[in-house]
Amino acid sequence: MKKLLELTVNRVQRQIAVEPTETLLDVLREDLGLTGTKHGCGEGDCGACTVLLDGQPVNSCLVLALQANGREVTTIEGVAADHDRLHPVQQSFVDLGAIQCGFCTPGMVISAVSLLQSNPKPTEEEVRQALSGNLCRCTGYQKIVEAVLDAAEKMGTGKTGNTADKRRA
Amino acid sequence: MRNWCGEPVPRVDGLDKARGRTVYLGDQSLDGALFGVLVRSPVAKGRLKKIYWDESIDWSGLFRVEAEDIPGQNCVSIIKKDMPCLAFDKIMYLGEPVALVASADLGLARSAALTAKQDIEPEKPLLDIRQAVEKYRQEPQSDGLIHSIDIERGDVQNALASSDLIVDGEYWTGPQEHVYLEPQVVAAIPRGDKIEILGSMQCPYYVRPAVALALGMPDENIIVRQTPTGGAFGGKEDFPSSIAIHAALLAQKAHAPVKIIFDRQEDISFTTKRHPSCVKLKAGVKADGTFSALEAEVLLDGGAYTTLSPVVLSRAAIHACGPYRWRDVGVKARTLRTNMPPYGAFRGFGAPQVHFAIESHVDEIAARLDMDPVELRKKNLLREGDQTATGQVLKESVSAVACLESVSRAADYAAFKKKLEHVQSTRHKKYGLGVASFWHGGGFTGAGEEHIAAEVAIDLMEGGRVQVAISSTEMGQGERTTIPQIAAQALGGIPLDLVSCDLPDTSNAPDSGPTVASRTIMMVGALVESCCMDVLAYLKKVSKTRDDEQIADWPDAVGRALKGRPKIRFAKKYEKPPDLKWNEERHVGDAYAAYAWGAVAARVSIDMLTMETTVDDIWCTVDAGKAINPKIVEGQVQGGLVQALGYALFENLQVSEQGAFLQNRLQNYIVPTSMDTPGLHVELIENMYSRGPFGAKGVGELPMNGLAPAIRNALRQALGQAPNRIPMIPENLVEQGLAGNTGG
Ligand code: FES
Ligand code: FES
Repeated sequence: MKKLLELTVNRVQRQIAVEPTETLLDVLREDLGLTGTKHGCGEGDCGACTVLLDGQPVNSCLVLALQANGREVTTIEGVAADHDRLHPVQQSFVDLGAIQCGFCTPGMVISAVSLLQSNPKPTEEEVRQALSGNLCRCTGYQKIVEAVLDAAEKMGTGKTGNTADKRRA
Repeated sequence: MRNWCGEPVPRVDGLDKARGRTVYLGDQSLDGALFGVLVRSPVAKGRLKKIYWDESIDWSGLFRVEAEDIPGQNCVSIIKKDMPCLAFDKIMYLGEPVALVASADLGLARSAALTAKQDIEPEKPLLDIRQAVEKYRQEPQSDGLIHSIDIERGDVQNALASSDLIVDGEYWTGPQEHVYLEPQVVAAIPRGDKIEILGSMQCPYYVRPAVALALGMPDENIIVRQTPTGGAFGGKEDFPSSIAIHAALLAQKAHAPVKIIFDRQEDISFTTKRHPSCVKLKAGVKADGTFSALEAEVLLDGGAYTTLSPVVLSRAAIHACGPYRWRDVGVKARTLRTNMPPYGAFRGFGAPQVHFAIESHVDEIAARLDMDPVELRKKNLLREGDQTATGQVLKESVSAVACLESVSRAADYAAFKKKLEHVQSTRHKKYGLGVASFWHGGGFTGAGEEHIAAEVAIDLMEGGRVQVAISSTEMGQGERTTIPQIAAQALGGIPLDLVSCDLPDTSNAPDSGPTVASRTIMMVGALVESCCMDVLAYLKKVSKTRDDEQIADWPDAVGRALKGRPKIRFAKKYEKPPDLKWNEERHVGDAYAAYAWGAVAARVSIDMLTMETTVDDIWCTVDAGKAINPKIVEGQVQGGLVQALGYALFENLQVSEQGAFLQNRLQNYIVPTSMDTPGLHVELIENMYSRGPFGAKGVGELPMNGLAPAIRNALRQALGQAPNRIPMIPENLVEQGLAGNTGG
């Protein structure tokens, strides 16, 4: 029997009828069309489905949709301040070559954003720890860690200019 | 005029990926699509007599396909045609597909598939490489062989007999799963008398003929389009062909689009993996450390069917002697058949297995001679003018020594060695620093490139836009960024944003070959470069520009060439350089047009109580010729190193008595996380290759080859004895008697 779920996703109020067995990941991807959040294992092992639930990173494949009732969810589509801009973490990922196939990227970015919210000046070790639930099979993590440290520095100094168009120079 | 080659420009697909806007096939909803699921055999070997379905359930809206429904040939065509799309009669491995079910509701399709009862007469399977090796050694000529290759140079027996020292060794490696983060996914959409295939894949032109043959349709009626691909590493080389056939069979039956998407457990359990191996070496060496003769027996477990095993074996055989000079060589390479899912392509393609053997063996030789392993390598590494095991004379771009020197300098090898004894005597932890040298032939082996006869096309369009049309795929390695860099520069340094390279679609892109074998930049990129030179020459003519001048107004020159047409296409086809010679039967000659080189050092510590190994630092120097985009090349090397780290230390697959992989979830199949990964110090040497685009060679697979033996050699230094088996997990180290010695 479907139940009514009320939650806020990327600052927008939503009401959806969901099955009690549906996961938050299913609802985001299938009901709300927010496919930026990826399904890599469905068992809480890869982190591709990471979203923020009331500001905390969770594996949305392990959260029942109804557990999110009345709460606030942020997905990769909602991390930046508005539609046309990038969050500094996204910008650093692009600039420093932290993206290859891109399948882990949304989850990685969410975990990194959450880290920098609670710890604006992390050490390399702290970054590695914060990302340890997010698997990446392409990059070897080095450039991802560098990108998070770079974003932290830029957010600290307020220098978060848009440099993604460098290649078009 | 701008030099695009050598620029670390950000990748073209980076912004969309960072925003989560890249639409992978799993993110796409297809109108009216059904989900397809596979019914798999419950035993590893047997005779399938009949499948009984539960007719008491409601089958309306459900579709099913069995072997007898296949309109064309029941095989997944790749090198041979021995693997059926759906098994009938013979079952060769546990989980082999025997039937298909589709429904708009995935849950319904799954439960309907579960009702299938298979009447099977089970037989005794052969599951394990150990059993297969034993059987092969008892009767080498048995029917258990998938493929054989012998390489002979000089007189190895004689040379061994006259060597000052003979060193024997045997090395084993286990299977490795790719764990591309996006699991396998394909879709088939009926379009009139045609079928369109969408999928996460490396080789659209492998999928097209395979689907055509199984469906009994002409090639042109199968249109294959790659969708954004979330990692592949070889795992999406041949495998997508078989599920594309499955989806197409269901789509044809249901007259509706059908999507097949694997969950992680199905993906790990039943898709291809790196071939397990057993490599036996006998090396003859002079007292001063000069290598003279090498005898190698290379045995790979090929699993149940041929698939790509013959070419994997060929690469393994050729790389088995390592990047060293040996006067006399005898290599016997065999792929053995077992009742496991077919082993297949995985980054390195046979080379990582034999590198583990030879690079471990070099350290054993060094120990017997009481020589430093770095010095021993330097003495014997291949140099320009030397000959390889296949008799190929290396004419250019050889950097084995330079890479090793760079790495030992960066790792401060000499200083570490001095410090070591002092450090070790005080802890329950032991430390070691190990090195390995490695190489990798770029492009297809031997006459492979000639057979593929790659074709590329360049489309000129309004506004001076340039589209590169090739079947090479973007799977994360950066092809959509790097190929346009080559084209933009070859066209005289035009603005990079005028050039694009889309994901391939077989109705538009010519067959530039599969995206494998480190060939995309080196082979396809070179063709793109030379096609661009034709374009440039033509445009100079129409714009009346002198040869030594730049085209002043690029869009205008293109406009003149177009004469009002929407586009014009230039094409180029591969021509074999006349000086490359290859004898496939004897495996003699120019095995590869060029080789990339590397060396790696790993500093490790091992906890003598838990026998857990930690890698604390990795230094790696590679020469892949010109780095067209240094940031992308670095990323390839770093990513490859960490896959090799997992191969060496964590990634363990055991086989149950029934023939199932015991580790089939990411919870128990452990790949490295950010916490397991040390600092990676990568350096690039650019030793140009004259026929590569702007001097580039291939880099994709190279970094997979050397790290596992470097870690092993570091453990050898730490423990005084060494493991000869991958993965070097604590259980395996204990089993090999390496535990219990806590030193001081
Ligand atoms: S999909 Fe949720 S952790 Fe992998
Ligand atoms: S970029 Fe491919 S998994 Fe991280």
